[in-house]
Amino acid sequence: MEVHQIIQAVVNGLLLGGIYGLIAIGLTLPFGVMDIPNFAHGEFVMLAMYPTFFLWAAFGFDPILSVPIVIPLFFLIGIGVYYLILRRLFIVNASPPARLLALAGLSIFLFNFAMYKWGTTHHVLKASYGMSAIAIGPIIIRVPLLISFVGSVILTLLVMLFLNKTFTGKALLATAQDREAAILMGINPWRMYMICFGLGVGLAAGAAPFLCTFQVIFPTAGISLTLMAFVIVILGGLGSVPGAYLGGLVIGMTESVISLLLTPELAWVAIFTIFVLILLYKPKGFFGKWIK
Amino acid sequence: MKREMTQEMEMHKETIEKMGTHRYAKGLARIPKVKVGLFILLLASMPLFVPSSFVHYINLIFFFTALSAAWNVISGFGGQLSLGHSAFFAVGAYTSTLLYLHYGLTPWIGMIAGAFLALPTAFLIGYPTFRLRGAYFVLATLALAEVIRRLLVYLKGVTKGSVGITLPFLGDLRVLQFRSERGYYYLLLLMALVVIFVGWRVRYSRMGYFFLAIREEQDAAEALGVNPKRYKMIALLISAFLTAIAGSIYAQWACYIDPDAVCSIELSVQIALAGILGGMGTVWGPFAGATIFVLSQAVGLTLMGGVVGGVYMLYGMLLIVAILIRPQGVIGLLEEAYRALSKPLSKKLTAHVRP
Repeated sequence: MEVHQIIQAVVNGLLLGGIYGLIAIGLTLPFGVMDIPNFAHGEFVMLAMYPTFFLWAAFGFDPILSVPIVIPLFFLIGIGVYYLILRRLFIVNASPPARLLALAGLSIFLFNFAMYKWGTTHHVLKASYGMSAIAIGPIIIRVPLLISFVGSVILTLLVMLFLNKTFTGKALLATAQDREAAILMGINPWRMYMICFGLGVGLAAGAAPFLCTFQVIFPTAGISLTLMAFVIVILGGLGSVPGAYLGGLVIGMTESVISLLLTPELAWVAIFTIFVLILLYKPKGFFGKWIK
Repeated sequence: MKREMTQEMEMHKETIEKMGTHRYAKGLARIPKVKVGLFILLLASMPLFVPSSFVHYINLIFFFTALSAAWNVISGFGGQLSLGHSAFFAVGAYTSTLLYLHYGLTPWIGMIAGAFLALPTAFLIGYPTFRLRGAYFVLATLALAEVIRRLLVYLKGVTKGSVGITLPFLGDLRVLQFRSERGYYYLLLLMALVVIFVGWRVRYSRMGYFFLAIREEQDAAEALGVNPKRYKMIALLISAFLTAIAGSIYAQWACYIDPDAVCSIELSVQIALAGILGGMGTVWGPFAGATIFVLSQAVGLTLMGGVVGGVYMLYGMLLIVAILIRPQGVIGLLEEAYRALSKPLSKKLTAHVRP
């Protein structure tokens, strides 16, 4: 094992971690704002990979061009799910375990729907730059990973700008901090919840085209993404956007380094160990504020 | 004024009823022996007059009754939702199977070993998460199941990885096997009854009331001196122990185990689904839930057996609809019906003791 191999693994992990971070941001927002652990989060990533693939297969659409298509599409799907399921959960005043179960049901429905619709075969999207790489000394940077990382940084910055600079974004944060006070300030929390969930699902979908460029597409891809995103969210602190992004980098790096040093199968053991350690010693995560 | 009185009396009525059930359940002597005896006799003689093709479905009902009743101890009574019970199931199935194949140890002992091995596994997730509130426990159960599944795949040398292990079929009671489904019927019936019995004893014990108190209002329970961490852990350990035993029995029943069959999110969700359909936190709910679940599975397979993922799409929808329409499960409906039917009778019987 040479040093440059380890550096290579770290670089790969960081580049991959950007996408994990982006997925986790989509999860941490509804979790922090409306206390909805979106169990079907990874499923939305998986579902968004299919339109990207079919656009590429039918019209030769570059996956990056699909980003501005799938994000609004899944924003609307998220709003649909909000009205169909989440809003009703709030109306019947379902307990936290019941909310989670309903979303688990949604997750099972969605990935089996994908299986039914598109079969269990693996689809591979071969982007024109899929195999190209840039060499910096002994370190090789794969272009699809680099593009994904840049894309994740841009989308994360956009989300942070939206949350901190626009009126709607500030209202969203206010609702997360104190729902009653926000209502008194004339904010409609239901509208905020709708936007928040739509945004979360949209961000999940935004990560999908990037993932497509270096990963195969199959119906059960979502579950491990969901789990990983939850670990990242807890690592970063519930409801914290920078925390989620940073957590994504840490988890991506861990996965990559453990895969190199030991085997890819044990990467999950390492992630689980990190999860348990975080719960034991720093349950609020890096940037945790609202722990419920 | 009068209205307030009635409200107060109503409240008391509920408490009195609850206390009544408590006293009722305290000693075994108070069980209506004739009713229970007839019920058991009916169950025991069922395979004799039911067509053998149905026996398999009844076996599945008992199997899921046992699993969801074990799940119910932590998720129903303890109020800590688990979506990773297949982890304990897999620990039980693999421990007894490996001990049997490598050392020739009978699964009767192997299943106890597996059950005891499930305890530290459960402790591993219970210890860090029960100090916290929120969704941490359920995430830990999911992550644990995923880790165990990947470990089972990774440790190919011992577990044969994703190829799975085929067990020899001897049809001998000494290795927990039977020549016909009817034999398994009695084994699974016994297992289901034992788990329901444990659930019932737990529910109406002092500890069971602690579980309920923690579930309903943790701060109040803590203020009254109940240690939530400790009692959640006890509930989890009981649940994991029973689930692991069911896993060992499953291995000898199916004669084939592989990581995807015994340690999958699908299995965990099926266990939870049966528990929720019946009614979380009730003693007989798991039985009602397992019945509905197995029947819907049979119907689903007949209607859309050819559709890939069809049955699971049905499960997903069933779960969402159950939560939105009747989160307390169906057992309450059955109890109300039973009470409505038996009311005239019990009124007559207790007429002389009422003031």
